[in-house]
Amino acid sequence: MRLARLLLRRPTIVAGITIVSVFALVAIFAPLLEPYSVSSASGAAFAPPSAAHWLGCDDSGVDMLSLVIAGTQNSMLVGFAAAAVAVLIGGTLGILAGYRGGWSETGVVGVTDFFLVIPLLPLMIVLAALFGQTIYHIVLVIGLLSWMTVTYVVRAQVHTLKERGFVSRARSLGAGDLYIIRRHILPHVAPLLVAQTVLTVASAVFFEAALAFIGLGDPERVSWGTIIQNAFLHTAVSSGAWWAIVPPGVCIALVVLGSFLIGQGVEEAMNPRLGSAHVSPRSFRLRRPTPEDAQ
Amino acid sequence: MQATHRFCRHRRVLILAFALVVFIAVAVAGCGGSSGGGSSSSASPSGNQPMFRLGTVGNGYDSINPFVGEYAQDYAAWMLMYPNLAQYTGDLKAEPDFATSWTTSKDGLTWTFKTRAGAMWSDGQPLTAKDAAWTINTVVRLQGGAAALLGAYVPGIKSAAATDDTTLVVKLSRQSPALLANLFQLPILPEHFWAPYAKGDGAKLKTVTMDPAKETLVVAGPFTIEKLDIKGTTIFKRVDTFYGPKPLITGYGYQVFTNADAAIQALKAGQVDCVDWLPPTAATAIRQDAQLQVQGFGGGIPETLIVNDSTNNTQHPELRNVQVREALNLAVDRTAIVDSVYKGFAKPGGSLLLNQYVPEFMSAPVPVVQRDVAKANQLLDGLGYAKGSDGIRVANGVKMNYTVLVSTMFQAADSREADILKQDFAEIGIGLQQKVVDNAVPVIFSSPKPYTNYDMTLIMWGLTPDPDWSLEISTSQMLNVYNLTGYSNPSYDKLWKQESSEMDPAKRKAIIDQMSTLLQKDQVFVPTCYTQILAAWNKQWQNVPDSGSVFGFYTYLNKTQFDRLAVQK
Amino acid sequence: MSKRQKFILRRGGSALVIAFIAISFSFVLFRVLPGDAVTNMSRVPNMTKQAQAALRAQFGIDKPLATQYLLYLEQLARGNLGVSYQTQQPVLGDVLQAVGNTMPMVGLGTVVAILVGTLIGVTAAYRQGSARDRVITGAAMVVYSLPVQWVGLLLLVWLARWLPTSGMSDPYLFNAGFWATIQDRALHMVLPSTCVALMLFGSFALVVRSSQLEALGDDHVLTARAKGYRNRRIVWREAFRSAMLPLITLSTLTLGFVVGGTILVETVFSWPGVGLATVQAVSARDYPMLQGIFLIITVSVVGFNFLGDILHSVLDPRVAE
Repeated sequence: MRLARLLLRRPTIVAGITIVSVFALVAIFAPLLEPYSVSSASGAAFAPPSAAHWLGCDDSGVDMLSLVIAGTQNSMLVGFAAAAVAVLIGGTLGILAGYRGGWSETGVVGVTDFFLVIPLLPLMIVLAALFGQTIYHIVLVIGLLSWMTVTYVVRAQVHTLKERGFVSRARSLGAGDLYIIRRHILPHVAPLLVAQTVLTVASAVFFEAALAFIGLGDPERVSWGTIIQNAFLHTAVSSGAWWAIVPPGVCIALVVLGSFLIGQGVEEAMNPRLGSAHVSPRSFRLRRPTPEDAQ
Repeated sequence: MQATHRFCRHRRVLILAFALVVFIAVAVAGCGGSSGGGSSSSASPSGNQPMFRLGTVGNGYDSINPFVGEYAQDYAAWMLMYPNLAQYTGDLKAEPDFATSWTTSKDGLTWTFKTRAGAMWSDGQPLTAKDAAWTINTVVRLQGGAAALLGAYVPGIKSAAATDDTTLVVKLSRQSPALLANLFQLPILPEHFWAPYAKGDGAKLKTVTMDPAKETLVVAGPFTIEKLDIKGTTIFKRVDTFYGPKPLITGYGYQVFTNADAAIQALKAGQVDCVDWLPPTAATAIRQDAQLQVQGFGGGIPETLIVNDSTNNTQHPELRNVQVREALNLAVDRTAIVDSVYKGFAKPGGSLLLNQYVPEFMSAPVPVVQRDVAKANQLLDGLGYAKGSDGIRVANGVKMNYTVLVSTMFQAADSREADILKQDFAEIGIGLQQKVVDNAVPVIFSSPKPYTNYDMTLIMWGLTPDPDWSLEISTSQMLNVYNLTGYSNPSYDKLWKQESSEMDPAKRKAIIDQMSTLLQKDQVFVPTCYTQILAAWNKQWQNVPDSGSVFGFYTYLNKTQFDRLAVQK
Repeated sequence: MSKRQKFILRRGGSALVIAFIAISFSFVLFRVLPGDAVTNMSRVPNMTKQAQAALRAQFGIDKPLATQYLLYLEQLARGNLGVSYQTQQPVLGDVLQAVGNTMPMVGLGTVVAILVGTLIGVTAAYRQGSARDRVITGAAMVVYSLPVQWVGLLLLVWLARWLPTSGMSDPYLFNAGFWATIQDRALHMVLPSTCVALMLFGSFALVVRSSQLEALGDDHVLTARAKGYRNRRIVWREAFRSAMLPLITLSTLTLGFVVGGTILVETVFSWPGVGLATVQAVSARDYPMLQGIFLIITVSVVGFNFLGDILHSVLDPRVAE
């Protein structure tokens, strides 16, 4: 497809896809890749990195490399699934609110405000107490509590777009709502959505680690958040065992970096106008014709 | 090049704005912010020893008002602020505090205490037996309301009176062998301070803030509060009117750290002198520093696995079978728990009937269950609970897959312990999952139907110098109050009634032995180990309170623990 | 009544309704947690049934739920937030103290994050496509995603020698002068505020960068360029003005959460703020405290959102349509 070729030509996207793919592969094949068991000790407590244990061991003697690999599976799942849920909900509501205005908007803003003011911590504790703490529950909780920012940001953007004249012009020509949204709103909102997706992946992974921190992670599964939490509870850093806490943080950073590079690349590819910012000394040129100009 | 000046002006503006914001924020924090700020008026330390800076990891106090506070740390504060009739040594022997001697009448319904002469409260008012009588009477009168939390310390007491300044007479409505142990824990309060609050239903008693910035405290202990900051650092200063041996230090601070790493770093950096309630893994970190000493104190805090034995347990009724619990008991690898989870700062055991109760209250210590996986498997095979294809046994159509509740408060140790139990139980065909809850006890007792929301949980017990409380925990009357296993046995209840009113020590000991045997036979608890409290301090401090006491460092058992604490220059 | 006034009225009305619904919801939410303040007496040896009953009566939790709710609303109307179960002191005092502890620290971090994020976002947009853009925006994203407790812990251990790592002030600093006190408090705020700033600035950077890029492609920017204005003026006066709106939205949203504090940072640095108070109150099932905290957070968030809406309508009058 033309779009795919367009995307793959950019080195940033390629780099991003590579990073994310590596982690995705590790996530899928995790059980095969783990050198040791993650539920029983195979070394000394806080053993430093060695030939037998590349990343050392944690406080109960479990191999860190195995833990990190096992954690990749769960953390990737949570990060991307939750972001998908959040951006889907947030984007839809944001466009609805911004485009429609009036009572739809008031309704959406009301619901968004309501979700914003609910205290997350007790809510999560209550949900965990009522429904359990499996990984799917965590994805749902994070997704359902992350869409609000997306909604607000998208809504603000749609407002601005409306007033740029495209919408009223298109309407006066008899275009229907869905057509306008697809043709005029989405292309301008899409870059923001892409940015929001990356942000939400980042914050979903962050959120997962935070949930693990207050004890609401899935205790039956290893995730980067629970590895960090365990290192914290067992004073790994003060004991000098930096290997118990640094690797999961690095993994989180890499996954987010990868998503970010993809996001940035897609953003540029989708909106060529961005490549012609009028003040950039490098690229001062008349911008290429866009669909709006044809109206 | 023009580029270099590009954002100059705006950058400057932004930096200025930034600086302004920082200044305002800090100023706001400086003036407002912290609780009780600025009330530290008094004396810079005078006396031959400086202030002892103590820190703790986790919870500090919740309230230092004797009618409000619930935590063990509160009791420690009261022990050091208020007189008690008697105090306990490390081996749980009672020795005089405010009362110098005590005798009982023939029928056991009257106790007479001789109290110290010439004692004083910190405001100069005389401390006499009248204060003790007033405190006891007030608590008795209000134990159904404002003094509910102190009611347990006056069991069966009808009234108290001071026949003169140094004689206290306490009248009982029924005999109770545990009376003294309970009564000795009651802090004696100054009548002239608290009486106005105790009028009527005493609701005002709970409103006293105990903040020296707001009201003048009246105490008679070795220390009083100088600056109250419950969430941060509460500072105590020495009271020179104390009737007992005075500590050498001029005071101490009690600082709350919310995590162990912060506490360890503060200790290493010399910001505190001593920290307790460290997680066992901290020992490695501390030992790396030659200036610091680490030690485990006590060894009388039982850690047990609670198994749901209640009639409300309809999800896994097989857990109500004694042999199933016996199998669980046999499968636990206590050595692994002591080594891996507690890093040696514990020992196998964990019965609520402490070894320290021997020989005064019990004939022999409760034997530690030895690990025997083969026998455990035999028991379960004998019951006909065959293993499925996944290795998990099936009991009457129900998979023996259980969830153990772990409280976030104790997650560090309990989670690891649950990991080990999971491996142990897997060897006998039983599955175990962890479920982390913010607090396990409310989950167990949650309405509408208590004892339905859990299979197992791990609990650490805080006990008392007299075994009566340990025994009462498993009675039927403690259901929905403190009886976490749901065990309810009329024979046991009967024995407890006898024990709690048997005044003859020999007879009482026999009954307690009987009850202990019954508890073991019925496998009420699955004890794992006796844990210690881990403390670390700067070696320049000598005679850091150890006590070897059952309950560990910084306990609420006696007033002399800081006596010889001193810094070696 | 002008369009804008109607808009503000509508938003204000919905804000009040939201606040009321949220408060009522919270009332139910906390009581759904298993157990209550009295079943939690796991730390009190010698607890008895009678004591439990007495405490329940005193806390008022033995009454039916509907009665408790009405009583609560009645008290609230009189400005009385009740008394904390844990400390038996008025909730308002306890909550305001926690808020007073949290706000300077989190507020400082937030403002720094906004300023730094804006700078980064605008620079990145200006340099769009260059290595500098990718690096600084990439770095902002990476830092944004790192768990703040991870960052905080590493900072704590590295810098423990030079900076205080616990609490809000040095408890053993007696009789210090005004400046010494300020300095002490400032030093204690450095690490936690830095963590908060690190936690937040990435989102600001990205949002500003995105909207700035959009704005830079606008007609009026092209016009300004053609008119020969200097880059600096174009970037800040023309483009940033219109790009500012999403930033304002995000800022007001974030500032609303300043009051709620952050449990992660407060736990790492033993900062006795609202986050920590919330967790302790949940564990103790301290309903009055929880409702009090929640009320203040609600008012703050709703208030700031409302403020954001007003600002938005002022800066972009067309929004009131």
